[in-house]
Amino acid sequence: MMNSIPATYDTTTPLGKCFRGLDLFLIWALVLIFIFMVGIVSAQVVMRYGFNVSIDWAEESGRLAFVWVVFLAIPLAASQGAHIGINLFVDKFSPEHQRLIQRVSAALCAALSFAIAWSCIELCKDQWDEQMATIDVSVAYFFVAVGIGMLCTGLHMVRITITGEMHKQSGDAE
Amino acid sequence: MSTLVVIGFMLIALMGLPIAFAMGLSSIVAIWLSGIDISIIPQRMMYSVNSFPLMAIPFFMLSGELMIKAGIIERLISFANALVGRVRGGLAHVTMLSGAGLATVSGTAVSDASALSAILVPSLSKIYDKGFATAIVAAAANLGPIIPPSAAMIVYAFMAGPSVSVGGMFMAGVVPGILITIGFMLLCSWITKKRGWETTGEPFQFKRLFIELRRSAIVLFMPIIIIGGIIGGAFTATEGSAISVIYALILGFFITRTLKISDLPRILVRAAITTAVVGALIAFASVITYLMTVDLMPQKLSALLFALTKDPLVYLILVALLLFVVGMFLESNSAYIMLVPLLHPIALQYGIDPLHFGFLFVLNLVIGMLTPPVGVVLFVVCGVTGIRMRELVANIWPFVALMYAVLFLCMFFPAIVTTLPRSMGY
Repeated sequence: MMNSIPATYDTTTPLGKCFRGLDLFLIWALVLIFIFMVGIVSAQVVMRYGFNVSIDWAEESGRLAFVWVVFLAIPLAASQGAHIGINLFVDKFSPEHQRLIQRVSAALCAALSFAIAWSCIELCKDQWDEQMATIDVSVAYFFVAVGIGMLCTGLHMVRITITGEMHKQSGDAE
Repeated sequence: MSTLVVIGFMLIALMGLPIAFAMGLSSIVAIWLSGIDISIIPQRMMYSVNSFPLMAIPFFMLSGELMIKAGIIERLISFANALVGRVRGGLAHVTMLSGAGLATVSGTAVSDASALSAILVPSLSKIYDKGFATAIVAAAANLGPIIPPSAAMIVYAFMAGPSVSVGGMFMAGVVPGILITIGFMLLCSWITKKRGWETTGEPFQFKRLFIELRRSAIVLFMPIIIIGGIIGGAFTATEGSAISVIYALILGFFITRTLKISDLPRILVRAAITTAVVGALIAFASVITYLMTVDLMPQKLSALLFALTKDPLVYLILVALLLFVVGMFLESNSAYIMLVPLLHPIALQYGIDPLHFGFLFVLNLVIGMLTPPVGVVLFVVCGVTGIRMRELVANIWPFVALMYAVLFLCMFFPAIVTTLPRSMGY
């Protein structure tokens, strides 16, 4: 499990250790939520055709799990440099300038992520009393996922701003 | 405001920022300048990915990875070898059929390219030169998003809205997918004959074919259940994709027994990260889409295009040209997410069949995955095999040209794309 996603940064420093801990927490959470997501959607089909019973909360809980998977994996993708970017022009600069651009970019991403995470707090407060249609859970949990995901992304971006670590955005989803 | 967002996005993206975050930054500035409440950003982001149909993307990715780990490629190769191994360009044909077979269980080109390169390039390189060997694999892997299931088609259908169904898009890809596969095989025969490579492989035997068919039946059965279930209305694309994950797990753990529990975390996290890359693009693009809708951008663009031409065919050609350029510089998922909400409604106003337009859009961008400088399939094949990009690109052009030929054939004869899905009620 420790090697499921190898760290792309120095994990020997205290800062690196903290971020590795954060990544491992995210990895564990993702694995568990993913298993739940596959399980509940498959169970819905089995129950419908095998037992003529429908799990009415399957779709809503599946969607909630999916939102959590997406937003918890965004910081992991950021730490791996998996988000897609255009390096065509940046590559023309010297390594020193590339590092500077990387730092500025990461700082901008951090500011954006923290701003979104902050506005999620207000949204959660507003919607905390509102329940989902089929589960006795607050709809604010959708925004909790966005907030946590963007907060963790912001932290990773701060780390990249401080260390100036170089990442080629090489991710692909196709 | 839309102009500010677009120019801001382009400038920020050129700084090397991840495209998703570049979209977010340009929108947050526009929102701040317009005096709109910033909480619109997390709201749009959350609602855009809070979608049951989108869940099919990670599930199909997961099942594809699990099937590869379960050793299905070896079975597919053995079956294809028994079928077409002893003809000119035999191993190239085997690769194409294996790619097509893999495409029926996996919805992506990248995982297919990685798996096919690792397994087939060493054998192909013994018969053909390495440039051609890797080009065959890259072309075969590119069948992944054309033949159903296809993650690209799911993203397109999601971005296009209710006028396009995932099942309809899947069926639209069947006939062109078969045409491209046959075209690739004919092309391989012609190239191997022209370059004088020898015929290899064991002589054709019905008995061997039957044995290999029986061995690979468990693999070939999966798309029949999953795609059949989806188009037959037994379950939705998302439910079908979840069933395909369970099928792949059973196959890997109990039939081929090559899958281990310890493999699962890595595969799950990889699928989650890939989902997050697409999810982040969708989430941030939804904010830009909102700003453009407020600014009546689709209507303005539509009026501009109608002033230029009233001919739907000219519109299709203009879109193909745009996607040709975009496909060279932008990864395909970003292109779907940014351009489908703008171009799809205009296609409907031109009276173009939504499935026809959708398929052409997807095929255009799939071809872009084989063209430099941002041809992701080329990067994967080069990464796995160690071949130089220049050598691969020199050999890939005939395959790209053939895909463009099929694209224009489908553009001028929409029935190739639409007959099957429409006859099935889509």
